[in-house]
Amino acid sequence: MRSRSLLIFLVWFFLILIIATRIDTFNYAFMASRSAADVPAIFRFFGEGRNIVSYMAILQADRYYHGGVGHIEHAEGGGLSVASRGRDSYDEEEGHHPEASPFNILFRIQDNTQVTGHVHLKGDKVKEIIPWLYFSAEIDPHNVLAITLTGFYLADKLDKPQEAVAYLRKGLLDNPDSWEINAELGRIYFQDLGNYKAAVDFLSKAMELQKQAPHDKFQERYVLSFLAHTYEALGDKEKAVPLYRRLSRLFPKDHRLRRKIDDLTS
Amino acid sequence: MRAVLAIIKGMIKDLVRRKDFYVLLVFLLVLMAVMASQNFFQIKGVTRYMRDLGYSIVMLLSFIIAVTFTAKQIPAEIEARTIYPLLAKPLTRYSFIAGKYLGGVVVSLMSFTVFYLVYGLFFVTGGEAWSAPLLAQGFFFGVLFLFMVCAMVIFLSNFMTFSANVTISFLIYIIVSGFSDTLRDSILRAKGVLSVIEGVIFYIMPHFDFFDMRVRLAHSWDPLPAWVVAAVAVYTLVYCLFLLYFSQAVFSRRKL
Repeated sequence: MRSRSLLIFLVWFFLILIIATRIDTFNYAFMASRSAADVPAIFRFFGEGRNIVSYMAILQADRYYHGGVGHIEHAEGGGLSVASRGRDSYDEEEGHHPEASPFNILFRIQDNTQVTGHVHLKGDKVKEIIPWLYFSAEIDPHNVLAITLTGFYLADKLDKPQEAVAYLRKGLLDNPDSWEINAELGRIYFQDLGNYKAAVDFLSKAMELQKQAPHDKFQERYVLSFLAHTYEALGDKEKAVPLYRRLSRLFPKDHRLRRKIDDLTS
Repeated sequence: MRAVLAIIKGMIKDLVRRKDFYVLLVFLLVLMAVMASQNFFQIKGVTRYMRDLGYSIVMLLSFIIAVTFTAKQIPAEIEARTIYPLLAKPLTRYSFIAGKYLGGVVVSLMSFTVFYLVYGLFFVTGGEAWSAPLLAQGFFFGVLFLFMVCAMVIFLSNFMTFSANVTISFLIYIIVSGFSDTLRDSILRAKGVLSVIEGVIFYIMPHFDFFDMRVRLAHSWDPLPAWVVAAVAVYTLVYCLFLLYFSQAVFSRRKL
């Protein structure tokens, strides 16, 4: 009896080992844009639980966006975070297995019972991902990705910019040093609400906060370009031009930026 | 046959008498009602998460009923020594196993049907369009799933106590549901002896993943083609017959 209990314990322990590694590899590390090796084993068992569940909820939202079929993006930066949306990326769908023999009946049944199609939710259907994004931020109020994604989908896909602003402002109370939330608020004020003064305030704050945080040139472009466009919309060319020049230095091959600078300075 | 029916009746009475089923039913009702009443940013008609979680909960609760009711049958009869008068009736050991298996199946199906009706009610009133054939396939696959679970639990009862059986059954369920895909990919990439060993494991393990209609139901995909439904039904039948044959073979040789 004792040996059987020991066996059961060992099986459980072995399973926990497998599951913890699996969660980190496929769900968490990818979403947090860091390698699985960055998370010490001890944290996988005893810590970061809330954080992991929160990121899993985002991954679930991503699955819902793809009709319940998961996929893993390989693009650097994750593809979901602020400033990485729309970057070139390729994805690998769940359910795409290596080729099996057509005579292997169990493999064939498995292939046919699983859903493997690739769809994207369109129009009003996008609302189906909102509960998971909401749960994600409720579970971990410091999950900036969940907060900014909720704001983005509410404002841009579901035509609820006021709700998005209210939600992002609430998120800003928990994360006052987040350049991402400030940038998202600025973008929505500029793009959806036409409140350029508020947009300048938030985007300027985002630019300052970004300087203190690790970021790449795409993220810098995100903040600078919206701020430059906002100044341009306000008719303040003197403030817009230096921002376009900074953008041009970041992306020297972008001819549109050079043309824009020429237009504004001529 | 009359003895088998008597065993089944006894198990049904047990289901009605015990509180487990009612507690799980209330739990399901409360959970579904809470999910249905959630309001996310005044957006109307958000239903997929409720369909998704609801289906998972229905399957899990039915699995709990199937495992806990079936797993205790044989060890409890042996421990309480009530098996001796039963076998002296005369009731063959084969009939005893068949009775306990069918009793487990009937009890699980009764619970599952009620759970699925509750789920179906929320499903059709949820807002998004629904498909009756898909809902029917979900029910049919749930029935097949429970046939398989009960056969597995009866088979394990020959070697294990109630608690060990419940634990191992849950472990198998978790492993198969979560890692069947991984094993399959590993088989296709493996070579030599490893490929054979993994292939044998893949064929032996009960493929609970075949019955999972969660994604299809929640995201309104098309129903499965008829040949797939038939193939899964045949697979379940063959698997259950094998397990029951080995169960009665082991039980016949067992010293009581």
